[in-house]
Amino acid sequence: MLRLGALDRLLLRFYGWCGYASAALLVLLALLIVASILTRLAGTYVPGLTEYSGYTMAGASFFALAYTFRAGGHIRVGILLNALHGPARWALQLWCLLVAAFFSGYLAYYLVKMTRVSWTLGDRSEGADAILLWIPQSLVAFGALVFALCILHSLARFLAGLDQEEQAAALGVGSGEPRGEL
Amino acid sequence: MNEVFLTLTFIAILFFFLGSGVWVALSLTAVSAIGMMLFTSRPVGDAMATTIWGAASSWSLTALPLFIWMGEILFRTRLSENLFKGLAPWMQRLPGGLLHVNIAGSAIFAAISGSSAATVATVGKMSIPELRKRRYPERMIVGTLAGAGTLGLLIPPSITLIIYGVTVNESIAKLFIAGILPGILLALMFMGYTALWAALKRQGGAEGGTRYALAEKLRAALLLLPVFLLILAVMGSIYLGFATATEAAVLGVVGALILSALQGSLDRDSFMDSLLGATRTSAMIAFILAGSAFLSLAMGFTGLPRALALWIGGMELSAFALVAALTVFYIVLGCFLDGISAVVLTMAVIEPLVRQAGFDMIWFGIYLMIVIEMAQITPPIGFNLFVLQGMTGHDMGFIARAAVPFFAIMVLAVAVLVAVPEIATFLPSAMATRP
Repeated sequence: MLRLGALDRLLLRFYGWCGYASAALLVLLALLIVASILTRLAGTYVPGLTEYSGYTMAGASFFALAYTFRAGGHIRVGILLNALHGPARWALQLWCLLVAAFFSGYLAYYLVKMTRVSWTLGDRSEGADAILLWIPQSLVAFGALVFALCILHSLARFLAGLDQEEQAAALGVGSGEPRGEL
Repeated sequence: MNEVFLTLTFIAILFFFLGSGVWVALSLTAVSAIGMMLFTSRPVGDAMATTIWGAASSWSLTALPLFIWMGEILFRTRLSENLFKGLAPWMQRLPGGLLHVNIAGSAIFAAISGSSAATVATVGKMSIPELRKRRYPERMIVGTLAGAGTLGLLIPPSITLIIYGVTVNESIAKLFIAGILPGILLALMFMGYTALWAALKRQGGAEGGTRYALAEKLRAALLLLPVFLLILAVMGSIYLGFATATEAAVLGVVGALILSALQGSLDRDSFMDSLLGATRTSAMIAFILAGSAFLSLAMGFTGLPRALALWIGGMELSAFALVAALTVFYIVLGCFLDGISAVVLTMAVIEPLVRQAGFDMIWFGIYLMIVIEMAQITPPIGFNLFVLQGMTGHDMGFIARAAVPFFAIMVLAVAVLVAVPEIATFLPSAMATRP
């Protein structure tokens, strides 16, 4: 039991690290755009900056999926969930987590498969960057894997009674705290 | 017949997943996967992976996290205070008095932030206590804020407008420029109503209001100068064709960091907070957009968008009737869905219909923003209502009732936009584009 607790804490911290990695990628994205502005002003053209920006964006989005999930940042329609109480609410939340666990796993499986295929075939981008596609794709696949793991973990925490309200944070409900979105 | 049955099943599953509370992005992914299995024998998982990868790594999406970050930085500055102090001396003598600060403040904050919830929160943080102290009627304080806060969606930079642009593949720069005039128009209509209300009630305005000398007014305006310069730099660089939307967003981030540093609100904590906040919001939105790209693919196989476009086309509705029907549809939908999900979900089906009917897609985007804005102040799921509930302690019903006149003004604004489409289309057609 003690070891499970340690694993639980480690995982929670791990999602946070992925969030920091995503934040670093966001800064990198800004720097890439600055570089493209500066090089254009200087009259030179660096091929591939546009594509690299896109990859960085994709990496930043997927790395932050798990971290955002734990922070209650993914939106959902909360009307029904908030109208229910007791066992009915518990069952509905379980349903949501089961669906989420299955399809995040499904997504992760096929993103990993896509990356593996790109790697075996040595696929290159058709853009000016001509990068080996598995390199940026593996960022996205890794993020999706962590996300699937995070949802399985959240499902376990929910079943163990550790995660009642935290993850029920539905669309704008329960907190007047603006989250700077929408 | 079988086709129709399958399509209905597909739609039913979609609403079941969303309604039961499955996270929006995962609902879209799940329903699209199920839909593809129902309608085709293609390998579903592989199509999903390539579609989602393509959507997530698309260049046009890069403006999104950067504009979100810019807003998050400015949200953490003393802007709320400065907006009130800078605007109050100018608004004091108008009929309706400081209530106009809510509207003008929202319009200005909307021009640096893409979010209507953040707009309401930032402006309201300072103005609610100040207006209460001066005994303005509570209903008008809440109403003006609920109404004007929605300008965040219309006045560029707007996150929802970026999402629309990415979804229908239209220029984000053009959409932004198109939003400027309608945004100003709507703000003026709100202010006109407030003035009219005050004149009829003989209330607001001069009570206890001190006259300000011009020097004082100018000194107050100086507080707003940095913000105006930032707005001018971001929008101007897009309009003059110096920068793409993404490049303008980086300019905005740099400008926001400088502004925040000058005000002394930039430290390690606020920097990390803004960055992580932007990370979370953009991950949430990017995931929804990726899911919606997959949904568009799946929808294509159902043949529903094409059938709907043909059916509506066959009815030979006038443009006006079509717009009226769509408006009602979006208001109803907006009662249950947030703005982003509503745009993403419906465009998969409605885009061919709108193109078939011959609407200008830039114009339609602006129209859509106003209609989605209305949804932000209709119960039970109105995002601005939730924010105001948290800030004022009033119940949802009171806030929604206070917002009713402003809802009516938005309906009027839609009518104006239909009658005079040039309000939206003139500026983008006149703008310079980068070669």
